[in-house]
Amino acid sequence: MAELTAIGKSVRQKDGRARVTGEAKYYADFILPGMLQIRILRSPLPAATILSMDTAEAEAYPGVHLVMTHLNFPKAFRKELYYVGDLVAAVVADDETIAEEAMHLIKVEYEKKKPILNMDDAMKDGARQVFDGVDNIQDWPFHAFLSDKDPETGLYKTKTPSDYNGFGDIEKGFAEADYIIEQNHLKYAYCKSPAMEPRGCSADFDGNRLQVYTHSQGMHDEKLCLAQALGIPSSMVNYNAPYTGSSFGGKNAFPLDPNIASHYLVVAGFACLELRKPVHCPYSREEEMVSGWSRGSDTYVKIGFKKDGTLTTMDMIHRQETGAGGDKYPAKNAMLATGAVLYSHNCRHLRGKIQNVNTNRYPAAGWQGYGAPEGMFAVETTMDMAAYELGIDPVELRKMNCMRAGDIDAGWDPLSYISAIISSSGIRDCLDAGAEALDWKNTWRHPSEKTGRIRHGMGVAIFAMGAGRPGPGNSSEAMVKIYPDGSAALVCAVADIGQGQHTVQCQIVAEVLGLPYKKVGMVCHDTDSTPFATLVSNSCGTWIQGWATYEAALDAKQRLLKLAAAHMGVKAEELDMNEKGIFMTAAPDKGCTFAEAFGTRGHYGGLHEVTGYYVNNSPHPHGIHNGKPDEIYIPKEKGAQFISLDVDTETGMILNARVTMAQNVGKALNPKIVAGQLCTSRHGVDNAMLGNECVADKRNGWLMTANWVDYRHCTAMDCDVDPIVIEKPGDPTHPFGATACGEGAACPTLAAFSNAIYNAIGVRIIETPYTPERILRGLGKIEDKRRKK
Amino acid sequence: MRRFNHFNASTMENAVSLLNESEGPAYVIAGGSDLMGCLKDNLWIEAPERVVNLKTIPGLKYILVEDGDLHLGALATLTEIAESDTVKLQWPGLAEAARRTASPLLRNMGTIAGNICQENRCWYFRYPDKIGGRIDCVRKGGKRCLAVPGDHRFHSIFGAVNKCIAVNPSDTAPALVVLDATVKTTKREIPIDEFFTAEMGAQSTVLDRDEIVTEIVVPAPQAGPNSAFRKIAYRKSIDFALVNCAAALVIRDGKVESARICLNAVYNNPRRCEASEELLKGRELTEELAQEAGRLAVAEAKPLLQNGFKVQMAKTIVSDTLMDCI
Amino acid sequence: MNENRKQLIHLTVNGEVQSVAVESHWTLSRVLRNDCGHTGLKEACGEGACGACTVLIDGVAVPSCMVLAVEQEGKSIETVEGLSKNGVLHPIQEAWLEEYGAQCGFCSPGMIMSTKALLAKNPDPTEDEIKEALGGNICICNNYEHIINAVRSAAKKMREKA
Ligand SMILES: Cc1cc2nc3c(=O)[nH]c(=O)nc-3n(C[C@H](O)[C@H](O)[C@H](O)COP(=O)(O)OP(=O)(O)OC[C@H]3O[C@@H](n4cnc5c(N)ncnc54)[C@H](O)[C@@H]3O)c2cc1C
Ligand code: SF4
Ligand code: FES
Ligand code: FES
Repeated sequence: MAELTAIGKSVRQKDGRARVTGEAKYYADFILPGMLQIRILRSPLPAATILSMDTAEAEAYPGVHLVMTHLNFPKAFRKELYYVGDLVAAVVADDETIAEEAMHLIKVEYEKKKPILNMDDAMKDGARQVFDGVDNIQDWPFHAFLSDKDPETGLYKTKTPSDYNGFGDIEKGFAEADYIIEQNHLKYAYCKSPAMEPRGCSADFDGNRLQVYTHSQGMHDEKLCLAQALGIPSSMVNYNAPYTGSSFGGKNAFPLDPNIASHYLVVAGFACLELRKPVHCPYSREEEMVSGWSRGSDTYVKIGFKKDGTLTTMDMIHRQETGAGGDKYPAKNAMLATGAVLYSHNCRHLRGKIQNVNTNRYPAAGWQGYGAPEGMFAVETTMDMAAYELGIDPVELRKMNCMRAGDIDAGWDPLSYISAIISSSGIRDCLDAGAEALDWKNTWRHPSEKTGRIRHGMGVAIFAMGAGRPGPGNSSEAMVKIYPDGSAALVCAVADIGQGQHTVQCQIVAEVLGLPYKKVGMVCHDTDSTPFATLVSNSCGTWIQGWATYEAALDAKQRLLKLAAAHMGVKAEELDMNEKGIFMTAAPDKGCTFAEAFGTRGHYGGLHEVTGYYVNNSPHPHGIHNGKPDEIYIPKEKGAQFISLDVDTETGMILNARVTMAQNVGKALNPKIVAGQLCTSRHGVDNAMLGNECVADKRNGWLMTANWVDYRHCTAMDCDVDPIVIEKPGDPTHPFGATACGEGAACPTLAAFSNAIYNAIGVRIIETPYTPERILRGLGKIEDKRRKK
Repeated sequence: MRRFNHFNASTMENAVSLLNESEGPAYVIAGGSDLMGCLKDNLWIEAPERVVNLKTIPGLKYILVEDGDLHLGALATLTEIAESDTVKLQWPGLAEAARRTASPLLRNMGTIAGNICQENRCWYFRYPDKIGGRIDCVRKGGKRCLAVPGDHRFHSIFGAVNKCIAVNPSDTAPALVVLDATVKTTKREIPIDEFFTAEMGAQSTVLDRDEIVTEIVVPAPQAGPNSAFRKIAYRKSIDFALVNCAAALVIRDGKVESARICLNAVYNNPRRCEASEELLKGRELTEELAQEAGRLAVAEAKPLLQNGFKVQMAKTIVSDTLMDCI
Repeated sequence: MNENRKQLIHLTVNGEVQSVAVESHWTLSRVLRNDCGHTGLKEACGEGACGACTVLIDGVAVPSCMVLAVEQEGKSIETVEGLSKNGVLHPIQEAWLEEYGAQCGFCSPGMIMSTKALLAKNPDPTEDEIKEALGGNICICNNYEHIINAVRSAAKKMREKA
């Protein structure tokens, strides 16, 4: 490949200027004239039925325009309430104080039900059903057994529905194993899927179009759902989401599902259509805190090894809390941690069962990794136990067994393919790089050698995460326009939620067109102005949107070169372009200007823009092996994370935590963006050492941690992250050899932390968060005999 | 937030009469970093009718040394105290306590008087009315304490006061206690040992409803600046203490002549460790002695089901803080 | 209908004198955003625990969500919008762009104002001093490494300029 000019450079953030001047308009910054304020009355009970409501006083309150309940807006509110904070009613008023005052005038009579406030209670025999008629525990409905392995490619040819995911024969596998390591009740606490900007929206209806202003991870998906939820044609809705104040999966809105935390859209939508006035429905932090939780799992893992450390067999049962509904299957990515992907190199027998469990806690949402961090937590702590038991260095044990390029992804996402070829790995490089950074070989000590009050520990965990998914629905489009002045615009709907997609996509355009990055503009404001893009989840932007952008830019370029060829009387194949114009590849001093190619003379005559377009229905042809559509490549995020920390054995506090995060990204399209993504490992740190979990009062279901004082996120002072970006081997499925980078960073942290704590003090904690309480208990330093849990 | 009437006080007398004239509950506001949270969460059973601003009263924002004693105006901010060279030199325990409070932004607005008058942080007490409504517990005048049967991992390890097991969250309180400060109010001078009480409903002090702190006086160190403060919290910033501790020693000829040690965030009020103080008297402070003092400090602890860990923390922080004093 | 509850206050916002009618319970952040048009200022936690709403009041950095607007009579307030002059970015903003200080950018207006207060007091802060000064500002994107680099680079630019 010729030398890259835009790719691989830390160019400035495309919309950075607006972000640092305060000009960037996030949804709440659209302050529309005459905008009414919506406030939501929320359930005080975790499980109840509304028997009666009296809204007369609230409706009569001066300044109130509308009171919404399940009686007048049955599509927005329910009679049944499933968690504390569930929606009871909404008041639309002249201002927020009036709305709040009126809200307190609504009288509601409830019938209480016995709440189910933890997974254990939900799974008990005879437990009350959270949702009438639905079992509290549900199997992942797409479990499949793979068989019929093609000896040449290693791909499976047959997929049979089953009650678990897997292959081989685990009975046989364990019978033949020399070592079996088993752990049960590995518990990753239910944690808040975070975002800096709390969710909410505004809406405005002019009798013709409904303008919605909000944040988004995929504005087209969300718009289609919203229109359907409101019962109006999609063409009536324009979804404006120019800036999103971060989202890590949690703000994916799906207004069609009454259980998911995107009620603000439906409430504001109906209010606006009814009143024909602009309305604003912002969630306070407290309301945000009862919307969109994640993690929350209870996992069983059993792994069989040969004497030399070869991992042959794996069994996993993974149960995941989904609270009062919400995102249905956040758990399936836990399979990524198993022999299906992460340990696919040697694993010959696998059984993995995924279940989700409903409770009367706050509805689940996706979050960075979407089940993968929970799976990695369970498997990677178990691998660590194995390393100690087998007497093999934890880094070496992983190097022996981790996935490599060419291994088979067997069922991470069995919806869209049977099995697929893992296109690149590099985990072993990441392990080496991290170990070297920490001088692991010389400084690693067995816990039995540690003495003194403050004990140092180091732990490692590896991970694999999706990087875009091939298959139906995962498509994105792009339009690239070249103008006669030699600038270009990328028109697409890929969401930039902080992960840098707008910047990177423009870099791709600049690279393909040979233009300076500065001359590429981005149009990504609303659904009216952009073609469809799938939501940014599974860290797919670089891969799915990336291909669309790349191909659209190529298409635009070809069209322009054709115009120039006609003008110059040569063949388009002989031409190329750069900032100055179009030139002959063989004789770069011969060529024409953009204006000449377009044939424009001011505003008269000629063309004014050339447009390239592409729709990437993944997998892109490059993601297919040997041109056979049933042999597809699948890229992954992957790498290794090391935690170094000290434990104060007298207070139980973790001190001096430091994360070394090594990830092979294939190609860092923008090194600073990539480094920034790796630093999101701190989300794991939040969950590991800041005591975060969903504390719901065990009798009343109140969320005790409904604010950022009682629920903590790292400040700049709490933990350092050293990102190590590895760029080999380039991934064959991407035009620039990149894979993805985003969700991976949060996947290995909880395991690496637990492993580091074990390494420091010889106490293995398999329940998050790693509180001083758990550490001191492990050390035998809590005397109170009354305590039980 | 609910509506209330707001008044800017021009003098202390004016502020007191503004409080007295109020028909419903009235609060003074200093920095507001605590009061605003309470107002926003609408947590009291009776919503405040008025808020009286002290910041408009001139001359309350000072840090002065007179005859060796430290005089802190009620409106002196935590940033000013933490950064004052005199305080750092003579009363290091207080400077450190101020430095470790809340966050730089909050220390810029938070005052010393507000810090020792702040409401407790029990998460039932503070439950916001936005997500299902306020919780009316005993401390607010309701019937029950919700933390005892509920989640009390951060609550008192030394039992209840009037059924309430909330802890006093202040970071500067223990420092002022060990430095034997005096709180001057519009009505009286209150020795700091008598200032804190959880007996009077929601508030955590003995102040009458119409009584305002005007100044805090900290006596000059008797021998040397042997005071220290430590805090254990999950985060290094924006975080309340799991346990904190201050100690001040009078050391002459290598021996401890007298000692004051105070734990906070372990009980409704800041808790003097008197047995530990006695133990140290007349002895040379060594690591072993400090540890013994730590053990004595928690000898009477009565942890609940979930908070046994705080006993171990309290024990350790007492001995660590003592060692910091020398 | 609420006019009678309102009180007129006078603020200097980014050098411009403004008179605004406010209700007694309105926060400064609410008034700056809704009534003065300074939506560059963000609110994320509403309880003093994140610093997204940081502004300078008479040069001191405070969370404006915890401040009552009625108490700001005669005060001089700076928000992020006041930093760039005639389209020329402030060195802190330049540094933010160079070092990729913003991911989603929602914390940036507050972080930048905390940085401004820090550099006014301490033109050459160490890494630990930077971390401590930003200790009240949360970045959920966890972009702290880049942010610290940005503060360092801004400090350098401003020292060179001075
Ligand atoms: C996110 C966050 C984190 C925090 N972390 C900490 C922490 O780590 N440690 C800590 O100690 N505190 C912490 N605080 C609490 C608070 O910021 C500090 O206690 C601060 O010092 C309070 O001072 P203020 O002037 O802002 O008080 P205000 O809010 O103005 O007042 C607090 C209370 O004291 C009363 N009051 C104020 N001044 C007087 C007076 N002169 N006389 C009588 N009564 C008075 C008020 O009526 C009110 O009830 C935190 C607060 C927040 C929001
Ligand atoms: S501990 Fe005190 S403040 Fe907390 S719920 Fe019990 S009575 Fe209320
Ligand atoms: S919004 Fe003001 S501090 Fe968080
Ligand atoms: S850049 Fe997103 S919160 Fe800081």
